[in-house]
Amino acid sequence: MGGPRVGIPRGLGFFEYHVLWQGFFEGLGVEAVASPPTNRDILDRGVRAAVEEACLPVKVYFGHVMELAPRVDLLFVPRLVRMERRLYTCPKFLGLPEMVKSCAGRLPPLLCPVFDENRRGSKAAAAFAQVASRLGVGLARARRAWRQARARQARYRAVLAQGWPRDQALAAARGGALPQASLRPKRSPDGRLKVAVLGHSYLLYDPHLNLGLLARLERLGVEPITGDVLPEERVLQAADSLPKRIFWSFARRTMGGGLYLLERGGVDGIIHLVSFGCGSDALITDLLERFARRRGRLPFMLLTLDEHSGEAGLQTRLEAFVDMIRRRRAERAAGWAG
Amino acid sequence: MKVTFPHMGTLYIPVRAMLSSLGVDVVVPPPVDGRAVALGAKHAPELACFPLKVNLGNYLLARELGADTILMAGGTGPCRFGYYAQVQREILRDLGLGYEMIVLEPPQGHLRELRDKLRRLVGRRSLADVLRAIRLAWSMFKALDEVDREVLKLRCRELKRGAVDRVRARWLEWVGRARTPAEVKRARDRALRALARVAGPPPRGLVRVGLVGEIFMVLEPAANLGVAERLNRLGAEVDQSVWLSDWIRSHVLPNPFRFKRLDPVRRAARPYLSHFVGGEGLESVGNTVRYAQRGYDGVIQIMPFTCMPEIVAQSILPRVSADHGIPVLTLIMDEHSAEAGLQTRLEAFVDLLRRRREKGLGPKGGGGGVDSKSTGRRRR
Ligand code: SF4
Ligand code: SF4
Repeated sequence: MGGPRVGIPRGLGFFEYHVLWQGFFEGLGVEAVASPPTNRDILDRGVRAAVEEACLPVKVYFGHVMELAPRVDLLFVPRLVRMERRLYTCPKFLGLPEMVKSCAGRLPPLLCPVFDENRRGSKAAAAFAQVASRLGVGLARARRAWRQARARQARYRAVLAQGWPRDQALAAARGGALPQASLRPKRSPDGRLKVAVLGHSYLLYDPHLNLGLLARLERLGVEPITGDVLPEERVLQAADSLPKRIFWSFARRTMGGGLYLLERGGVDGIIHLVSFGCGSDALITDLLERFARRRGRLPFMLLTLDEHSGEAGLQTRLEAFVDMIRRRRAERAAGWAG
Repeated sequence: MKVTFPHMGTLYIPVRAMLSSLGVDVVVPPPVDGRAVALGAKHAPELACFPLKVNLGNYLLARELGADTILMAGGTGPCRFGYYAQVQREILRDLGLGYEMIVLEPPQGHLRELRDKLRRLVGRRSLADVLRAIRLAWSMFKALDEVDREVLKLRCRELKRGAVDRVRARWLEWVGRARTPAEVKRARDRALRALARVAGPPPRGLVRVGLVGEIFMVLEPAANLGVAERLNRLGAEVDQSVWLSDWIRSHVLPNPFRFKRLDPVRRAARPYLSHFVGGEGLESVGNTVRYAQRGYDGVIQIMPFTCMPEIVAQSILPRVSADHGIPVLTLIMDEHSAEAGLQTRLEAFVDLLRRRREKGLGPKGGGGGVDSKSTGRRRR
C-alpha cells in the first residue's frame, strides 16, 4: 500500500474500543497494527519508563507504545475523556498522550483524537475526521468509515451482551454469521461453582497482567462470570441506587455489578480485580467491601495486581478462596439436610 | 445541630465566621496533628487520598467535642475529591457514629437542591444575611491568602527568628474576630505593616522556590510537614501557586470562574499538557512552566501518595524541567512520611539550587534535573 502504518497500543481503552478503532482505520484504507498481547518484555519496559507511582495498566501501556514505536509511522494514542455522558474515565486517561510523550522515549508522531461522549452527537466524530485528514483521507470517506466502525462496535457489544465469547463476537461484528444460539456455551450446566470477576476490562482481558486469572479459575473447576455479561441495565440501576452517582465509568460498572450480585445472588463469590495505585478503585473497593460485609453471605475477595505479583501467591489465594466457598456450600447443604 | 468541617490550612477561619454569623453552632476540629492523621489513616482505605484520611481524623476528633453534623464539599470528577464525602459517610456509619452529612456540590442543574441543603444548615435566613456572610468569608479568604503570600516571602528575611510567625499568629486572631469586610481589610493592612517591620534585607544566597501540587497538601502545613517553612528557614523565598481562594473557585463556584482565572496557566501548560486532568494536575504543569519563565530557581511538587492528577503532572514535569532548565523536586507524602527524610531532601535541593546559581546556571541556565522518589514511603 505504501501508506503510513499506524500502531495501536494494546492497553487501557483498547479493550473497550479496538473494534471501533480498527474498523475506522480499515474503512480509511490505512494499515493499522495492534501491539502483541502483553508479555514479560513489554511489561518490564513499561515499568522502567513510567514513574513508580503510576498504576500497572498505565505502565504496561507505555510498554506497548515502546514496542510499537520503531515499527510504525504513527502512534494512535487517543485521549478518552468520557465514554458516556457525565462519566469520566480517569485522570490518567485524560493526560495519557502527554504522559506517553514524556515517558516513553523517542516516538513517531502521535495521533491523539479526543474521545468525549459527553454530549449527544459527540465531538468524537470530528476528532476522528481530523485523524483521517492527517492521514490524507478526505472527509466523506472519513465519515463513512466512522459510521461503519460505530455500527461494528455496536454489534460487537450487542453480541457480547448475549453471552458469546469475545472472539465470536469479534467475528460477528466483522460481518460473519453467528453460530446457532444453541451452540452458545452454556453456563454451568453441571452445577459448577460460579465466581464473578469484576474489574476494568484492561485488567480482566490482559491475561499476562492478571496472571491468567480466568483460566486459573476454570482449572479450579470454577466458572468465572465477568462483569460485562451481567444484564447491563440492572447493573447500572444498582450502581445508581447509591446516594451519589459514581462519576467514573469503570468504577460505576464495578460497583453496579457488585451491588447487583449482592442483591440477587446467582454466583458463589465475587473477586474484585484491581491495580495497585488505582485511584478510583481505592475508594470503590472499600465501599464494595463494606456493602458486602453488611449484607453478609457472599464471599468477597480483593485481588490487587502490581508488577511484583507472582503466580504462586495468586494461585494460593485463589485455591483458598475457592476452598472456602466449597466449604460454605457444603455446610449450607448439610444445614438444609439436617 | 453542631456543625464541623474538615481542616485545610486557614480554611477554618472564614468558614467559622460565615457559619457563626448565620447563627450556626460551629465546632472547629482540633488543628491537624499526628493524632488526627493516625486516626484517619486507621479507619480510611489504605490507598485512599491522604486528604480524605486527614478529613476523617478531623471528624472523629470533632465528634469528641460534640459535633453531630459535617459540612463538606463535593464535586463531579474526574478526581476523587467529589466522592470523598460518600466514602467518609460509609466509614463513619460502620464506626457507629451517627453523623449527619451536608455535602455542598457544584449544582448539577438543580439549584433547588443546593437551596434545600443551605436551609438545613442555616434555617430560614434572609438572602441578605446569607450574602453578607458570604461576602465576609470571601474577604477573609482573599486576605488570608495575601498575608500568607508575604509570610512565605519574608520568613527567610526575618531579623529575629520566629518574628514573622508571631505576627502571623496575631493576624489569624485579628482576622478571626473581624465582623465585616472592612474590619478584615484593616486587620490585613496592620498585619502587612507588622510583617514589613520584622523583615530585613534578603539573606545571602537567597534562592526562590515555587510550590505546586495538590491543593490540600500545599495548603495544610501539618500534612506537608511544613515544607514551606522549612524552605524559608533554609534561606529560600517561597511562592505558592494554589491558594484557598482558588480552592473556593474550583470547588464551590461553577466552572467558568475557575477557567477564566486559569487561562494563563493553561496557556503555559499547553505544550506539555493540553487537557484538564482533574484536581490541580494542569495547574501543576502550567505553574512550573511559569515559575521557570519568571526566573525561579526551582519548583517543588507536593502530592499525596496515589493522587491521580498529580501522577499525570509528575510524569510530565521531567520534560518541563529539561526544556526550561529548572530543577523540580516531587514530594510524595502521606501518613508514613518522616520529617528527617524530608529535611535531608529539602537541604539537598536548596543546595543544588544555590550551586546552580553560583555557577551561573540559575534560572534558564539549561539542564534541569528531577528527583522524584517518594518520601519515607516504600511500596509494600
Ligand atoms: S482507572 Fe485506575 S487502573 Fe485505570 S488508569 Fe486510572 S488509576 Fe489506573
Ligand atoms: S487531587 Fe489527588 S489527592 Fe486530591 S482528591 Fe484528587 S486524587 Fe485525591
